[in-house]
Amino acid sequence: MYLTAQRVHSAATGNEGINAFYYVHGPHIWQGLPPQGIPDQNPGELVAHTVVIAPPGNRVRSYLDVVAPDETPWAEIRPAFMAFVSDAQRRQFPWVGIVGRCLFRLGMEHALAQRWQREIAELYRAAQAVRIGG
Amino acid sequence: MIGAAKRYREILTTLLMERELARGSLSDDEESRYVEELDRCWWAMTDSEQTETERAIAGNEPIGGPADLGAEDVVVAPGEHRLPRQAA
Repeated sequence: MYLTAQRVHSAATGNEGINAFYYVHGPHIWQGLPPQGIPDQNPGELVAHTVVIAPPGNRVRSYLDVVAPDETPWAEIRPAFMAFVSDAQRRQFPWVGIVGRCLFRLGMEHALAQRWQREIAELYRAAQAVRIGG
Repeated sequence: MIGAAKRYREILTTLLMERELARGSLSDDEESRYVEELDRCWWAMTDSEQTETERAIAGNEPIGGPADLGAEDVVVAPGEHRLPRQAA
């Protein structure tokens, strides 16, 4: 499973919002850490998305990536994500980390990093919503 | 308690994130649970751990990031196997 939420800005309209995408790889494909190449070479099959600002060509201002086996319950992802943020929070963006069987990546522009906790919360909510909705 | 300082920072981060996820504030019960656990960890720390933790929290400077991520979004339809962003 690859879940990603990204804040995008449209230069044409000036509008901004968070789009989210939910990909699957098939159940029980892996159990531990994600195989190499996921998500960059193999994001999986897109099964659901939430589009607030229509692509293409919008500038990506921030993103949150979550990679985990398809069957991973949100009750496992949430504490892993909190541990990831706790561990990474004094570093410069982008952050990359593995907690349990979840891989997280988080990046944002300097302007958004000034209110990073709020930005992370918004990306997290969008990622969770597209997975639940999907 | 072994790892009290690390645990303290984890709980504090979780509390701050949970507040953001709840769009502002948690219930009194939830806040109390976090505060009690923070207290437990605080008093389990050595003096030097408390000093270091205070210094780290007080010096909580903004986190830096690039001016521009250098990425743009792309169209992806259900059933496709393509990332939703690429290098600009």
